[in-house]
Amino acid sequence: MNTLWNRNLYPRLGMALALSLGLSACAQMVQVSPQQSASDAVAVQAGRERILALSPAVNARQLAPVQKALSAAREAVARGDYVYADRQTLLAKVLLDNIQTRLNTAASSNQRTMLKSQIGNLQSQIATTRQQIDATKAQIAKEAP
Amino acid sequence: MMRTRHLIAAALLIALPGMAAANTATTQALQQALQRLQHAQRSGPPMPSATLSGLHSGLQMMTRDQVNPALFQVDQAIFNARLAGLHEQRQQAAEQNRLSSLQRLVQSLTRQHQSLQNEYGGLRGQLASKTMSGAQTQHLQAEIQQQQQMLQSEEQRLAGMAIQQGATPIPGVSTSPLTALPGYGKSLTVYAQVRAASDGVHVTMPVTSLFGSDTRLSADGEQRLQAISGILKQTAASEILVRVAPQPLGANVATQRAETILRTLRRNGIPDKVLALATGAGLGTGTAELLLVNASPTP
Repeated sequence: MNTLWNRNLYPRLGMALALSLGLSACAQMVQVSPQQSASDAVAVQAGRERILALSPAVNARQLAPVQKALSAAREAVARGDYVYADRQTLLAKVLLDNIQTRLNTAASSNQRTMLKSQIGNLQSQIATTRQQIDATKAQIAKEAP
Repeated sequence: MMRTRHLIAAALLIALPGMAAANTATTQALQQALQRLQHAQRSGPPMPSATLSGLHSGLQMMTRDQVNPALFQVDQAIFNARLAGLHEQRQQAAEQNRLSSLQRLVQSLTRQHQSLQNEYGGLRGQLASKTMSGAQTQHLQAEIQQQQQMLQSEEQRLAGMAIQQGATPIPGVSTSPLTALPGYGKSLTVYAQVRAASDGVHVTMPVTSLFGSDTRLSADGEQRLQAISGILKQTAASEILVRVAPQPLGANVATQRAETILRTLRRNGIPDKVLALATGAGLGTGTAELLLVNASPTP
C-alpha cells in the first residue's frame, strides 16, 4: 500500500505542477491590457450607437452628443488617458440609455393609440349588440301570445 | 429619504478636503447638482434605486474630480444626462400607467361585449322557439277555421232542408240550392248526405251513425235505416248498391256491415231484387253509401 502510494506520488506531483503552470499561462493570456479594456468598452457603446442610428425613430441630433463622447473616449485611449476614456464612455452609455428609454416610451405611446382605436371598436360593437338585444326583446314581446 | 441624506452627507464629508483646494466654480456646480437632485426627489414619485445610486455615484465622482477640471466637466455631463434619464424614466412610467389603464378598459369592454353577445344569443334562441310555437298555434287556428267552415256549410245544408220541409230558415244562414236533386233526395238529406251524379244518386252517411263498435246496428242506426227505407220505397230505383268503406276496421268488417244494412233494408220493405252489395273501395274513411242506380222520382 505504502509502496503503491510512493510510486504514485511523483506522477501526481508532476501533474499538479504542470496544471498550475498551464493555468497561470492561461491567466496571463486572459488578462487584458488597460488599453484593450478601454477600447473594448468604447466599441460596445459604439455598437449600440450604430444600432440605434438604424432606427427611423432616432434622429442625428439625438446621437450627436453620443458620437462626441465616443470620439473623445477614443482620443483619450490613443493618448493613454484611460480614466478620461472610461468617463467619456460612461457618458456615452448614459446618453444611449436615455435614447433607448425614450424609444420605449414612443412604442408605448403607439400601443396606446392602437388600444384607443380598439376601445372605439369595442364600444361601437357593444352599442350594436345592445340595439340587437333591444330589437330581439321587442320581437319576443310581439310574438308572445 | 434617510438613506439619501446619509449618502449626501457622506459625499460632502469626502468632498470637504477637496473643496478647500478647488476653485469656486466647481463648488458652485457641485452645489447646483445637489440642489437639482433634491428638487428631482421632491418633485416626483420615488425614483428607482438604480437611478438614485447612479446619481449619487455621479455626485461622488464630481466631488472627487474637483481638482481635475477636464474630468469634472465629463462628470457634470454624466450627472446631467442621468437627471435627464430620470425625466425620461418618469415619462415612460406615466406612459405605462396610461397604457395599463387602457388595457384594463379593453379587458372590461371585451368582457362586457362577451356577456352581451351571450345574452343576445339566448334571446335569439328564445325568439326562435317562440316563433316555432307561434307557427304551431297558427296551424291549429287554421284547422279550427277549417272545422268552423265545415260546420257552417253543414248548417247551411240543414237550413236548406228546413226550407224544403216548410220550416222557417235559420236566420243568417243562406240555403244552398238542392234543385238538382229529385224530390225524394231532399227528404233523404235529413238522414244522409245526398249527391246526384251521372251513375245515380249517392246517399252517404257516416258508419258511426248506424253502427256501434261491432257489426250490429245501433238503435239509432236502426231507426235511421227504417226512415231511409221509407223514402227509398218511393223511388223507382232499378238497383240499390250497398257499400261500406273498408277503412278503418278492414274489408271483413265492412262487408259484414254492408250485409247488415242490406238485410235491414230488405226487412223494411225494399224489394230484394233491387238490393245488391258492392265494394266499398274508394269511399271516404268511415262512410257507408247507398247508390241508387237510375233512380227517378215518383210523383
